[in-house]
Amino acid sequence: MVINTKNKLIFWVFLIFITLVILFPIYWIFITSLKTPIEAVNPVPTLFPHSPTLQNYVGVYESGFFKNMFNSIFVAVASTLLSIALAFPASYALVRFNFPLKFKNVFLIWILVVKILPPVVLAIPIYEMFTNMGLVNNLWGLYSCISGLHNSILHLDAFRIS
Amino acid sequence: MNIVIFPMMLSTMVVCAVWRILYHYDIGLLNYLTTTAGFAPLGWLINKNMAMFSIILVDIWQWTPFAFIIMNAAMGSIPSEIFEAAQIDGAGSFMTAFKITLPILSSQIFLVMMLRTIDTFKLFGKVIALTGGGPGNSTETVSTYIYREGFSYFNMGNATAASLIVLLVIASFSVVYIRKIFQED
Repeated sequence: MVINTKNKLIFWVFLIFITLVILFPIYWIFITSLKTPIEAVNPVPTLFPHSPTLQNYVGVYESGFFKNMFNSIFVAVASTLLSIALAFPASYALVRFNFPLKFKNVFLIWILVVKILPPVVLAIPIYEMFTNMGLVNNLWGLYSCISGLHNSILHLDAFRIS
Repeated sequence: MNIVIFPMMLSTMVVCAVWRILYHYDIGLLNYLTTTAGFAPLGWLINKNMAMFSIILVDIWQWTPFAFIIMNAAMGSIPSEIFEAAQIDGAGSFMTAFKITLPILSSQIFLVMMLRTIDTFKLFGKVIALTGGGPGNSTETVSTYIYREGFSYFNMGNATAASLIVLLVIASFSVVYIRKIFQED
């Protein structure tokens, strides 16, 4: 492709336009977090707040946000560790052990189906099982439910074959 | 390129929160832009024909960097001798793009299409967060139907029947997907 000034100009205009479109909502979050509540709902949105304020950050801290975030991180780490601990022996067995071939294919197809499925389809039977097991309001239910198990098995499987 | 990846890294709920503010009919930024440009304000999330389009727009905004990364990696792996040969043969830039780059990238394009189609089966979070089912019933998907029947109305019979139908559809879809992938090897 010929690189002359006309092509370069078109390239840069296009690039700047796409960067603006992609980054604009993120800039908007940041700006709105610095606005007072009255100015945030102004019908004429402003690009830069008239009087920046940090009151919103104080409100976030006071409403117990960091405890929730710590919970989220804890759940993510715990469920990741659980799923890796379960997926590692599973993928090892899948690669090394000579299952009758039909079973191996059916198992892999089943894992793929679970990956494609909308999570709500799985959530209904899990909810019923967990109410019978008493795990509904419990953190342990959350750990065992949010599973990257399917992803872990597929990735570890590909890795082990190579 | 690191800037372009950023929308993909945000969590879905954050993206929904921002776009819900931007889509608001009275105080949203998009309607402000359309009114200063001279058009009438559009009902982004409250017009029943436009609500689905708005949700799709948010999804495109969030996941285009994913397709971009895959395409970038694929295009970087094309050796440059092909382009030099095309330039020597006298092809213009458009013809080069359509007749040379696209067939080479067609397997990657197919891969991205399959992955995005799989992701759109799980479009549940954005629908609930942006419109909660849409004005009336217009943005209701299978996932929101199952969620409402199962967890709000506790109509477990309807919910599990719909779940089974979804499962059969996705099982047949994934058999097709696996056949395509194993035929390419």
